Amino acid sequence: MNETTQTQLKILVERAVRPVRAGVGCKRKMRQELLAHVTDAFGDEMKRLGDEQAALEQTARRFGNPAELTAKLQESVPAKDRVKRIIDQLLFRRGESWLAGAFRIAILLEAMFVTHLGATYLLYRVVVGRWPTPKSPALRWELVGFFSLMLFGASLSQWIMPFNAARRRCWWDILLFFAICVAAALALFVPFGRAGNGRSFIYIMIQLNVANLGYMFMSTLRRRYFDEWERLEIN
Amino acid sequence: MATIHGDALRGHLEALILSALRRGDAHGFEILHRLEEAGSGALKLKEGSLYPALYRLEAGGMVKGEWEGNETGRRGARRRIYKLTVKGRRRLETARGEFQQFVSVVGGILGTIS
Repeated sequence: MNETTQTQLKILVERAVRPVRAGVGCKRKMRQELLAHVTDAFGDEMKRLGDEQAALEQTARRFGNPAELTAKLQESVPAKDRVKRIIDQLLFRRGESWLAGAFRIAILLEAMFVTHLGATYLLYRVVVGRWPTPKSPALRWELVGFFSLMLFGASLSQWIMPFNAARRRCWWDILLFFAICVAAALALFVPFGRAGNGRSFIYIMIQLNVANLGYMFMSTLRRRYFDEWERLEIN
Repeated sequence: MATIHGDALRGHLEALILSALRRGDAHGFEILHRLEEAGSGALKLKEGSLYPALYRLEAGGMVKGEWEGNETGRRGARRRIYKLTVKGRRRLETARGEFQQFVSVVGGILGTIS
């Protein structure tokens, strides 16, 4: 099967699946399975008709009306998938500028950081019986510093992603990304004397890198997936 | 023989799928073939509509789906093999009983009227 036919079959599937309100994982399952089905159906029709265009048209007829299928697929989406859909929407949005995406991700990660910090303080209070007493300026700096680093990291990864998608390789970009992150963190910390506080620096660096690694990984998968399906012209 | 289209099967498709899976594990395309074969060509489904029914059955624990290895090398396309569960077998038996009762009652009424 040539690439054009494969794309036509994908478009057939995508017309039904794209409007379904469901998480990325759920829609991926639908797409993969429906594509396998139409590919088999197309194979049948090619054997029977011997003409690619006629086989495509007959496959579409067999597949049914995409709008009707969308409605049926929507009904089959389990209620628990709503949570996954909300997470997907928090992390990735179609047609959003890279800067807006970076801000959204940075705010999200900062919220996670603050929640984590709050939980740690609460745990300390419960276990030790009193609130921890960090130096206030240091805490403020860590909150602001973390957000700056997250914004920087998210901007960079948002900016890098389109190039990854074109090449379908990103390991060098990730290495470059981490090198730049470490350099940026050092540049931000050293002038304020925070690099001298080894534990604090390592703590923040670990959080920064784990968060960014997770985000990079998910972004890369998402971008590849986005390129494969969501850029198809279905109208 | 007159063709039976998908709309006439509303409410019965899930039981038909369970019945097709009694013959053994199968992916969607194979299930469709089994149904068409069993219907002697008189059954015409809009093929896409099979999958929402399969997803509902899977969510209900009546079938269990597993991805097939991607030996075909078709990028982005993957078959899912469905297997009847114990719950699915029980549901099939219940559906058979319900359908027999339906045929008996509705058939009796139609027979009386005609």
